[in-house]
Amino acid sequence: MAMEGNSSSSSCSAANKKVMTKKDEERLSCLHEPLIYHILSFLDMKEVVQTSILSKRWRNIWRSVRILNFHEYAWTNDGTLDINKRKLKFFIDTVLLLRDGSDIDKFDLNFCTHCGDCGRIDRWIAYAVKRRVQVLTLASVPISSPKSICLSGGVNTLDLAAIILPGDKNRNLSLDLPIVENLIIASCDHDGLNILRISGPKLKYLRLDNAFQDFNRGTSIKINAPNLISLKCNGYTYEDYTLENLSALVTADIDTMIDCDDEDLNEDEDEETTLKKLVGMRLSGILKGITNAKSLTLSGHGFQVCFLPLLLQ
Amino acid sequence: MKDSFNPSIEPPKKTVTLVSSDGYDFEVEEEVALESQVIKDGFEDKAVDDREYLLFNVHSDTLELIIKYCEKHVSSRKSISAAAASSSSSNGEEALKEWDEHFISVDTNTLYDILMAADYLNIKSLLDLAIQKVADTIHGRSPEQIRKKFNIENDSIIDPWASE
Repeated sequence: MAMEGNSSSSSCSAANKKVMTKKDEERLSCLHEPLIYHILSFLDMKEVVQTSILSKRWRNIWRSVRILNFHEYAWTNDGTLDINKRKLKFFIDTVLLLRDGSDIDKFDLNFCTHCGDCGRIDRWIAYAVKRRVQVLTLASVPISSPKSICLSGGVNTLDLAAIILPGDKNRNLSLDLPIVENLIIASCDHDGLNILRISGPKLKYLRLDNAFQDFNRGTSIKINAPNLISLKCNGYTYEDYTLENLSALVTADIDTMIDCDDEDLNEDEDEETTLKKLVGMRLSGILKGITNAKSLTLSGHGFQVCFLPLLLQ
Repeated sequence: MKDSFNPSIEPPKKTVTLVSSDGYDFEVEEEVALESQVIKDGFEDKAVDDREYLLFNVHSDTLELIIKYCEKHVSSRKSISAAAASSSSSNGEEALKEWDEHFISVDTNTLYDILMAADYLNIKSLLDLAIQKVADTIHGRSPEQIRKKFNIENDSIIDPWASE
């Protein structure tokens, strides 16, 4: 069976293959568009837009890319930080204004700025949602209200990293995610939240990463996700776990560290016993909620040192 | 190895022949060829005796590299899953990553040949590897450097940044 393609080159012999490989050929520009877009998807928008001055062929390609990465680090090589941040904001505004109407597959914003820019960031997110963004990655940006991240539209993956979670006046945060299938909350400052409630009827994959000791101290978590398949909890534990309705759970991967400050220590008991109780309470809270899981991976300091002996008693 | 000598069943042929654009035959194991989604898709439809694929868009030099890549990945997958089954520690994936890195460190022209071939044959992991390499090459370079690296002729009538 002959595969479709250009057969004109089939007659050339190995002897003249060196001649065939034209050194002067402009090969990058000759790639067909899906491949060029694929290459550009690995680059920051600053670099993508720079390709517009390579040649005529490249002038408008940047306008229709569907994966937009705006990272602060692409702007850190020259000038002072403040000027660069102003430039970056202007740059993002301009790119969103001048790009064509193509849908967006992924919008990745990694940009540390102050709260005064919340409105602007909301506008950018709204633009991406309007362009049917599927993967939304937000890192370091200020978020003023849950409305900014409780999105409608086509977002199926929401990735929040190093964000200060916005609470209401009672210091609670409800993330109602009607359409999100994958949610990642990594290294986010819970900023003294009492309760973080996550409810997602379509949620399939949830990862909670709390690598920093003080970021989720005192916060309880409530999760309602009837279609959740995979749950990963890494790092410091929450104060309390209410895992409702995780009937579809298949894999649970729990790797925990316990954060215990002096207030938690009871003077009548030695430190180790108190710690064991605390660990037992928190971890049994997790375990009760994930009884449906077909595969369970437990690791981490908490389980090894404190919980297992307690469990075996 | 499950080589069947049962006379009642015709033993499955283990190899297929890939013919490069410049007319060279490469006989490879079936599972190696099946790394290509295009060959895999066409595989079931093919008549039993016809096990030759004419790859009009892939030169013998490139095909040799592609086969080397596929063979390495087939054998690594086997040893990684074998190590996992016997729960012995293995750094197979790390080693394969290193091998990939070394494999794709080639000159720009060869990189394009690999990229085009991986796209044509639809070998996803290899395509991603080649594309990441091209992106890395663009990354951190000025437009002038990119033009030079990829032999792009500046045919723009006005260079909007030139007069700045």
